[in-house]
Amino acid sequence: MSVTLTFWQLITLLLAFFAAVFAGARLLLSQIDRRLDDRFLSLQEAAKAGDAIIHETLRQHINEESKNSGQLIELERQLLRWEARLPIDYVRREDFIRNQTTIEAKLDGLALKLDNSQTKGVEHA
Amino acid sequence: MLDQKARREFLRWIILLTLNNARPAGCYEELVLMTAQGYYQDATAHELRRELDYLYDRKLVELRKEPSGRWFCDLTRYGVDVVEYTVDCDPGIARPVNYCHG
Repeated sequence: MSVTLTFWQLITLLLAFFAAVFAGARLLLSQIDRRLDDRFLSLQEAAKAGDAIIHETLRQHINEESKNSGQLIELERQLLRWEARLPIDYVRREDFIRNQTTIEAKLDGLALKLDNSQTKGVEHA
Repeated sequence: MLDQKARREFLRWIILLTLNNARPAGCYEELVLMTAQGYYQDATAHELRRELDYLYDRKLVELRKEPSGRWFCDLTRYGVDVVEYTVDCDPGIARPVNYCHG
């Protein structure tokens, strides 16, 4: 079987062929383009969601930090109050030992002196 | 001479009293010296160490001579008995008669 084409027919056929190829390519490219757009959009949304989570976490941290620093200041104040109260309520162990012993020793000295003077008195009498 | 003897013996008694008040932890010799100076203003560290050593030899106190040079003192069980008038006290320590309980 043989097909005979005139020149114009050949031109038309070729044009139709190239037009079909062009249309196919364009369809394909537009589809790729759309899918890429979809993909970028989804990536952007994921990034936005991630940002939101990070912001939320940061906000929580800042809140906690401010709460903690408040507690710390309160603790420091309590400690300072306690320190101021300490010398009013307590005496140092060393001071107590020294005072107590000095008083006891002086009492003992007095007892010895009394004893001696009594003995001397008896001797004189 | 007699005064010196009385002073030494009373100093030993002051040391025992101080360590009795410092129980149960014990204390450093500085505190004992400061206390002794509350009675004898001119008491010296050397004098105090001599008496501490005497009491250590009589097994009345425990001494821990630290490498830094300080002495840490604590009363022994026998020392506590002497201070509390539980046992008789041999001469050498001016322990007064127990005027609290006759």
